[in-house]
Amino acid sequence: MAGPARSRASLTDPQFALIIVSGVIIFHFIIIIIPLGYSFWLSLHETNVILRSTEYVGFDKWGEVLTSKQTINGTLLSLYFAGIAVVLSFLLSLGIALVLNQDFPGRGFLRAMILLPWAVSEVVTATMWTIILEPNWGVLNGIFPGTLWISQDWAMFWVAFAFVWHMAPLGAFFFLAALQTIPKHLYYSARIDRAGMFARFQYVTLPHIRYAVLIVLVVVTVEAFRQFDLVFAMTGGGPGTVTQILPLLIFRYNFQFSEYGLAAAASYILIIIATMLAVAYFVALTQKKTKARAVTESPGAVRVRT
Amino acid sequence: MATVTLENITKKFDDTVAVDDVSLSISDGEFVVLLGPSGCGKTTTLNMIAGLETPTSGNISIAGRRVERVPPDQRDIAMVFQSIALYPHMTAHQNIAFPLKMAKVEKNEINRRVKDTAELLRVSDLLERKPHELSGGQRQRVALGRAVVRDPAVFLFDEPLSSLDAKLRVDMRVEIKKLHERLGATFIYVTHDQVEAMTMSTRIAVMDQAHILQLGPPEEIYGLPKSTMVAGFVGTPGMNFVPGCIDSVNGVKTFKSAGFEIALPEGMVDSTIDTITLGIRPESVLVGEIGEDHAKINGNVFETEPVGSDLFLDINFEKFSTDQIAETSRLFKVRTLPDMRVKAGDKVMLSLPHKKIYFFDATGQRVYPR
Repeated sequence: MAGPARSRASLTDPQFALIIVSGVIIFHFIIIIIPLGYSFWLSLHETNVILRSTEYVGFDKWGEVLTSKQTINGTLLSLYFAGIAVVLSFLLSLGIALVLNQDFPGRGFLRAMILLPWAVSEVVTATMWTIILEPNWGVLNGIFPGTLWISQDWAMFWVAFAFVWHMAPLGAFFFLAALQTIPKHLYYSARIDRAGMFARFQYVTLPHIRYAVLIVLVVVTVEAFRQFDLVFAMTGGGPGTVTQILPLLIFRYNFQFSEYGLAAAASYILIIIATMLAVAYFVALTQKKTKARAVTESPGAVRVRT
Repeated sequence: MATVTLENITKKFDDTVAVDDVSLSISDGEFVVLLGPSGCGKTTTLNMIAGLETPTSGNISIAGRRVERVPPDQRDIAMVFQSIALYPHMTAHQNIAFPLKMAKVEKNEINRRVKDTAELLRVSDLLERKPHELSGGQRQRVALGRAVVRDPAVFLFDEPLSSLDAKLRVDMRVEIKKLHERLGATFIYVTHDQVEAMTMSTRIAVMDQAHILQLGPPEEIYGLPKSTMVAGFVGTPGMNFVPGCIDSVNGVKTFKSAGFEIALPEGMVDSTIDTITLGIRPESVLVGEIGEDHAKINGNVFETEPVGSDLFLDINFEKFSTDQIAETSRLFKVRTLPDMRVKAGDKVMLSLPHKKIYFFDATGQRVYPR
């Protein structure tokens, strides 16, 4: 009995930590790193499904993707989709969080309710918004007949809106958590210091939630760029190709045209854009950490370094 | 510079009465301390003066102007909080400048005033630091600076020193007192620390359970406490209270308690009373037999507590039953000189100066001295 107990006790903290995280690392390797490497390999090869042959073509597929009208259009649509999604869901999340941070009866219930849209799956969200927006028998058309809600021009907006509806609660929760860490006395102090509502938001609220802002922006942006289910279920990329964002196009390359190389190269473009934006957010929102200066513990006291 | 007047102020939170019909008139340039245990309503009272809470009923005037419905920024007040409440992402300079910036003061003027204030509070070298790079005392001085820079008519303090360590508290006490003398503004200061109240204030308002129990200069609060609550709260350790009765023994009025009996001088108490509490401060009791005008009692030293500058004796009385001795809250505290050679178990004679004896009735109100 003493044997195993002793060996467990003899583990150092870093060793123990390594054992705990090793599962995740292995799992991560299998589901992310290997596929990533494999798709990179794919992007360098021409695959012929019928002949079951692969041929090394270098960066030809990358060149094709970067110059193809379809991918450029898909990328622009992705940026457009993500743009609407990020701006609207950011504002909506912050608005919801600011309201839920106030004291009012029924707040607890509302806090629980507000998370529901996020708990609903993306396909269900898509189905629900389709039922609302359908031009012939949709709910919105029943209320305002004669308006083509999901027309060519507005299709992308509504798809993005459905995504916002689905994502905003998550952001609201991040913001709410951050808002609740702000000491009440700072607002008291700011009020006495003649700071109005907007100044209090600017000087007290915003600096305290900047990391939540960062997380929300990164999560929503990445989610928007890799969004497939909702758009696919809602419009399938249509009408025409007005909602054919990059992930949908990749899906088509891969499963409709069996162009694995193109699909893989386009996927890389998607990853690069999303990563670049995430890095840009980090750079913009994280302050450069100034070297902490030595602080004397009490006035007049000098800390002697021995 | 301004007077502050509270008339019949009441504040209710749902069913709880936080402040109940409080009236208080503070003259221009006074340093008034609201003293009381936590939950007594002192902070709520201060918040109402600041405008952070609205009274349920009653009037508040600052400099003769009614302000119950005036927002905090228009009351010409500044406030320093227990939590210090510096804006964490701003430097000390930006923190001090903030109220001026909000008031749209011209930039050169802001810099000049921040510089003057920083010199006054000895934080000139720290202006480029952020709050997390400052020590507790430095932070509190910057917070003071943020209040001083506005040159307000009234300064409000909500336990500003309770988050500091003991030594720093003593230093800051002096600084705040000096600041008051220099600025001549009206200071209203909330604390639960009776030493802060005694050392800094011109008047103390002792609060408990939503009421002001007594309002007066520190000497009066200490010397003539209106009730057992005030007497017990002011002074360290608090006053000794001995429950008992007044009886007539051979025509002499005598105080009888479970621990001791003392004959009272003529004129102190006129009639026999069933329930009364004798009070005497630990520092008033003398060890040994002292001449006239002193009541003498015998006691046993239960324990000694040397604190360096003083020696405190915990006394119990022979007449107590074993149960009563075990109950330490019944111990009678005596302050004496540190070099007194006494140890636990010794018998001592104590002299209680007649002049220093208080009596409180069954409701805790002082009946002697009248």
